[in-house]
Amino acid sequence: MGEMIRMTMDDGAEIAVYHASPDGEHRGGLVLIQEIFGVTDHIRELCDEYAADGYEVLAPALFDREHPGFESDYSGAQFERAVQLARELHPFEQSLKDAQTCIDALKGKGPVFITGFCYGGSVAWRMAQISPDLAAASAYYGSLVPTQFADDAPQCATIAHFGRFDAGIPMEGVEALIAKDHPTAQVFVYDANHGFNSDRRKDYHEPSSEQARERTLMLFKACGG
Amino acid sequence: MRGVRLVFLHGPAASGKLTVARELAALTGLPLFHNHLVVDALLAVFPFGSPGFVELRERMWLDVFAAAAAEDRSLIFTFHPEASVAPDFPQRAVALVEAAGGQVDFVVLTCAPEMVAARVEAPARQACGKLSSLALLRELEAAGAFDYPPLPAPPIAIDTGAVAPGEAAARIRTALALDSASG
Repeated sequence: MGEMIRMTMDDGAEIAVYHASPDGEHRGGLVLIQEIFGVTDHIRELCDEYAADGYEVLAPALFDREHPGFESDYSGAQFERAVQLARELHPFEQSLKDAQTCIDALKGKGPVFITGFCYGGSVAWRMAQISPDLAAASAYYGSLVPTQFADDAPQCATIAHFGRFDAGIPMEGVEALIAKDHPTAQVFVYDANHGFNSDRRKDYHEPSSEQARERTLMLFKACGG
Repeated sequence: MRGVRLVFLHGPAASGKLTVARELAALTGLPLFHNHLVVDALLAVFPFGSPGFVELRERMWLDVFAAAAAEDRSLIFTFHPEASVAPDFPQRAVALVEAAGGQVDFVVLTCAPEMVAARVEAPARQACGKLSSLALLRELEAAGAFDYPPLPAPPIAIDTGAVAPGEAAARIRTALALDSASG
């Protein structure tokens, strides 16, 4: 089990970061980027699972500056607040900087990987394009990937996962991304909806979740982890 | 100038190394010095994993890399990480090629276990003298025969369960800018 720690980011802000370490073999570092809902028990559980697989994991609470301790439900007023934080209050660029700060904290100890979900999927994909310090990346259903960040090839080996029935990420965009044919990226489409990896959400799709996780671990192991 | 290139293609058994490497060789004109060439030559005399086999396999691989680099010959090499190969073999290959002003490009092929299971007993593998029994593969895995230190993180990893060999080869060529390397 990991624990919440405090880390100082590039702008001097101290934010909460979930930190989980492997008990045995250390395969590398992993920065795991949250959905818009905060570093929830679900995100912490994912961190603990990757730690059990041998990765030292850091999951920064990205909205901590604007809303300390934010954790949201998946509907109602908290959901509205999550959308507001992600779209209006918290600059996306700051999330990229926070991700890099976490990468920097891990990179002296072996290869560093990144993964992220929903909002964090966009962050993970973008970091694969702009950070020189990553060994591989696995980005889950980031809506900005096809709309804003489709053009550049990632600098590291990257896989991206999308759900075919995701109303928020239309397939036309995903197909256009695939057509870019970035040699460093592989895009996988699953017969599932947005959020298929989260067993807390109604659109959880276990077979897709398991396949995407297997692909992620396979990639990390193949890339020095 | 990148100088001479060694495309070091690795991945687990039945991940498609030889198939993709053949496509890449056809696409780029680079010679293919695949894993099985030296292994098969030595198996004519030595049992797999015997001291002579282990020593000569590594020496022949490295000698070819060094001599090719000295003559400015780029090549494609395929490698299956396994415990009988010296753990520092990839690093030694890099040192040799870099000493000649060249560059080693690591590429990894990944493949889901169920895809490996489906491929490993394909008749074409037996014809190539490859490991072609799933039971034996699993036995070797369990015995740690494929334990090997992590290789350097490559810029490109391809899940061959989702990409056809020709496409995989085209991606490698693009990612490594191999067009200018042939000859």
